[in-house]
Amino acid sequence: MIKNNKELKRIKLYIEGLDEQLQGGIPEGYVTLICGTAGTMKSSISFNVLYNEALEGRTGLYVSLEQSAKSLLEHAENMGYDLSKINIVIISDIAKLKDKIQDIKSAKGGSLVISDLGTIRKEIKGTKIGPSGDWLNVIKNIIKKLKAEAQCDFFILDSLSALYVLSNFDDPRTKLFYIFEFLRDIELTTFLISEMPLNKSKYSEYEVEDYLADGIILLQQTERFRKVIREISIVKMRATDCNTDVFTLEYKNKKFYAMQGGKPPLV
Amino acid sequence: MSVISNTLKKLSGKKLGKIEKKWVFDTSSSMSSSPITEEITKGKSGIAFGTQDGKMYMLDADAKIKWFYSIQEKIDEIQQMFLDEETAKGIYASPTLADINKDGKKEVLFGCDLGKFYALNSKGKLLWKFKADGEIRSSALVEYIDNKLEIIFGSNDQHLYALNAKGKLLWKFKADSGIESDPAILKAKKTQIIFGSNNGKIYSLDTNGKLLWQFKTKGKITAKPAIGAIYANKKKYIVIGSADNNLYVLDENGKLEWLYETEGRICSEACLADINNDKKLEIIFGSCDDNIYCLSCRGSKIWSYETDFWVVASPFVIDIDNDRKLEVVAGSYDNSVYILDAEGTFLLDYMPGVSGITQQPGHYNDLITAEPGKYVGKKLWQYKTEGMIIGSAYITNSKKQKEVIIGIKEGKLDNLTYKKD
Repeated sequence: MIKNNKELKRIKLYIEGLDEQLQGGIPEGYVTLICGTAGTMKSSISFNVLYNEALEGRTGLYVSLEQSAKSLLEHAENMGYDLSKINIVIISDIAKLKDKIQDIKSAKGGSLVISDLGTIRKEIKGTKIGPSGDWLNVIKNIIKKLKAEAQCDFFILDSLSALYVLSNFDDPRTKLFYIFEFLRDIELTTFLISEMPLNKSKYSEYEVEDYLADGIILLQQTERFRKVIREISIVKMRATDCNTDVFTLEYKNKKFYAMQGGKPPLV
Repeated sequence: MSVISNTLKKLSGKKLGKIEKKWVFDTSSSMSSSPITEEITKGKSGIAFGTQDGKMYMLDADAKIKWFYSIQEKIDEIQQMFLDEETAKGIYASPTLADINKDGKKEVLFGCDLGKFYALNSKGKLLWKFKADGEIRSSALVEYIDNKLEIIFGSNDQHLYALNAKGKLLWKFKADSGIESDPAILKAKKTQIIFGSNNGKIYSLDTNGKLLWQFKTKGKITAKPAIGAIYANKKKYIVIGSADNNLYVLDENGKLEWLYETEGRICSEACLADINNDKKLEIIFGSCDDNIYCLSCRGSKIWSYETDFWVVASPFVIDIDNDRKLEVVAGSYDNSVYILDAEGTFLLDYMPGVSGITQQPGHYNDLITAEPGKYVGKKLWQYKTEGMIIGSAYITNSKKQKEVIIGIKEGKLDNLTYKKD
């Protein structure tokens, strides 16, 4: 059924000053690219959504292909997130997925589930399948199980670039089309982290991702008077009347802020 | 149907009669392999096909299930996570029916995406299985070579395997890429096994699996080579389409005889048939440019017919209405089965008569010397089904009538028959 703009449920980015510019947030079930070069807080912005949604009692899956769950959580602690307030489930052994799903089901409220594929990849080395197995299927199977059995509503893939190394993308246009269709069909609000090249020449590796995604959020670092400031902008968001201006992005008092025409740092 | 309407149809050159659905069979799963039909016991046809959820069905001509075999493989929990559970057991290649153990009954041979190849007896019981290292999406060629039966098929593990009647490996050949094309046999001075591969190469092997020649195209080859004496002489030729949009005709030494370019991928086997009684073989095939083509043995287009979407299923030629004229049956991804006049129809470019000529642009000399028109595909009947047509075959019933069996991706099998008005 086609929903009109007012009927679309929106998911907050939990960035003060930006959600208001997006009619309240991203339409639920949409697939959004989070693009940026290294150090632009792509992972933190995405984690921030899952953390806040978990506080609201909803469950989200963060699939980290390279950074370990331990490193990700240490980073979150350092940023001041109170991890004791939410239920955190780490999947680092595929064989124990059923037990983890049981943990999510028995927890009160929502859960932030981290699938630590980096650790799983290390463990699987030397087994019958070996590291060359089809990791895209692993991700899809975890998503399907979590959606069906643990009412998971959100999915973050960190990152698309790492997935391209792990899975066979001989025919990327076709393969990406089916991945995006899979994500839309399963009705998860999805953030796909895309590592941009340093020259910022494109948002994503094959560029077709830009057209397949429902939304693109661009994170940048800009040098002004030898100071580097972070910026955020909405490049596109389907079914949304959004402000595409560039906002200054700041993280202070355990919260993200987007400031229009943000004050340049003092020299 | 009134006498007047029949008379009008006759006068306009339209065919009498209609195409009706005799029965429909619902598999309740997605159908993944083109159905095949074969005489199982004397005078009785069977219909065999595989599904995406790993079932092989054998039906009788009235769509009653004779048996079905469900693939059961032990897969541990971790392995399971690396598979797409909806398609992991999928049977994408048509089964091959052949009497491999000389018991007078036809066994059923097929592979699946788990990389297993199965031989079932005529009652659907497992005789043996063979493990390859990649998906098996190639139908098996079963042939007596030097008086020994060989079962030959390809796998996405890049190998072409040859097994004996008991499922033991006789030889294997490593190609440069996966093999999804069905192998075919060319019996000439030297018997050759011909097949295509995923990186576009066409290979010829001798009967011991040694490379004789190879020919490179620029697109994936999933089609089975069609082999025939197209010029009605003793020489046999290989006709095969590629995802580079071309249909290639090669001689038995792998030299290009000619090619015909379409505007879409060619995914399935061409049909070689003499449609105009000139003893030479015409070439009929479908393309993902939505057209069904009929070419002469020299590679010139006789006619083409445009459907509304890709033509992926192999067309075939039969006389569906027993009028001693051949029809081409082709299914399209536009959900329709097209039954076309095999010879096409001649369409005048202008109305005959002086006024027709004088009103044409250009010098009248050009008009007089030019062909007055061209052959085009002529649709006799079109039957709309409930989904994309992935394959078709036919059976001959007890009244010697042809019945068309249509495999639909959504899991249905339709039987279409001709009925007189």
